[in-house]
Amino acid sequence: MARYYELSAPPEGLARDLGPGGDRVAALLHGVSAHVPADGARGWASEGLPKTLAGAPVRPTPHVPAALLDRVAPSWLAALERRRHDARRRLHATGRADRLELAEHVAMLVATPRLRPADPEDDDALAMSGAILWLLGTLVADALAEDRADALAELIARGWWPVGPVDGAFLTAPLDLPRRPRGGPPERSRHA
Amino acid sequence: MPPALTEEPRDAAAAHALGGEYVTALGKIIGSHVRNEAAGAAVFDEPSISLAPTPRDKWLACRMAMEEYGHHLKFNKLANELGLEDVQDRPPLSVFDYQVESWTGYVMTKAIVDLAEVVLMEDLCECSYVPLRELCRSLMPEERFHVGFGTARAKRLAADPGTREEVRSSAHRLIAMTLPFFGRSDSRNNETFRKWGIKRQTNDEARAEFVRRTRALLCDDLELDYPEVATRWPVTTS
Ligand SMILES: [Fe+2]
Ligand SMILES: [Fe+2]
Repeated sequence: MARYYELSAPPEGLARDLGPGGDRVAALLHGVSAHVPADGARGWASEGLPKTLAGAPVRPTPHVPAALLDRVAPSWLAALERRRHDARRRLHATGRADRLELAEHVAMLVATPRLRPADPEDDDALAMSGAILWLLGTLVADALAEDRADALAELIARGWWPVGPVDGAFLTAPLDLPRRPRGGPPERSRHA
Repeated sequence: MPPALTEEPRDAAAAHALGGEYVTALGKIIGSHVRNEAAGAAVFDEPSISLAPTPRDKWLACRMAMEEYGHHLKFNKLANELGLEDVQDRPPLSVFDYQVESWTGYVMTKAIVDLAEVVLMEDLCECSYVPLRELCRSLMPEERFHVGFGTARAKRLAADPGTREEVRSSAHRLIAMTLPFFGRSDSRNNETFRKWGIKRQTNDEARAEFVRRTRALLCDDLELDYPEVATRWPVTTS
């Protein structure tokens, strides 16, 4: 299996190497490399977003205050956790653990450095980037196991981070949010 | 610069020009980081993602798992450039046998095992092999974040009567398991590392620094007792 140490975009032939669902994984990761540029942030446009997700109206937002992060619906996160677990188990059971490993390896290489916050001690930006990485890991496994269209994957491919249901609305924010320089001291919480 | 060196090697070719002893010594250090970063990501971080009590903790655990995996790859790249083929052949250190069964157990690995990593990497930030020195300097902010995360969460858990005893028992167990990580007191390998300026500290000096910092964590920050431990290590693999 191909081994990479550094990647700025998914490698050519990734979809083919991954087999079923591989084109979905490649599209997802191309979305990350296209919408989270290595240098600086992108503008954002909310046209073409779905009206509802997970049964709640979609609400695009340019910022996600730290307090909202803690209010993402636990049941939605638990459902994603189950999807991740089921997809991984299925890939292992069908002898595709090496495909999963390759997909996760490429996802990590493409996304982790791109989503690194400008300030390495910015706890909130690190949590946001971790949220996107966690979702990517889940969607990569799910795409390989199920090979079906997915609304969350679609959003990421178009440069949006589906934050999740918060207080009756489904929040979605620009995918490059963790990298954006943020406001002054009141908005920023630094870890101890 | 140590007397053995006239110039610090800036790439793999320059390291090879210094001879087999230098490259073999570098290989031992880099290989152990290749194995332990991967083991750390898989054993400590990946299962912990689902143990996290809050979304924020879950996401930070995920970010840290990805970072550890990234560290593994970066050390692996250095090993590859040096032409070291078999760095994955040896098992990772025994501290990675520690079973993370709870969020508290995971938090304590970040506060203690990553602290050991920081102590070792601080020394490598002055390493004579320039690519290894630069890599370690570039990874320090992430490693310091891991330790800061572990420390901040450990303080909260130690203040809670429901988790205080587990903080204590995990800390004591992890400290005892991490001490051999620094190598034997009379290590030939360590002599070679220092001769070539790959490391500056003896194994006992690095271990003493780890004991000093974990003692400050346990006794000052968490107001716990410190386990009785040997500070010299005559019987372990180096
Ligand atoms: Fe690391
Ligand atoms: Fe770490």
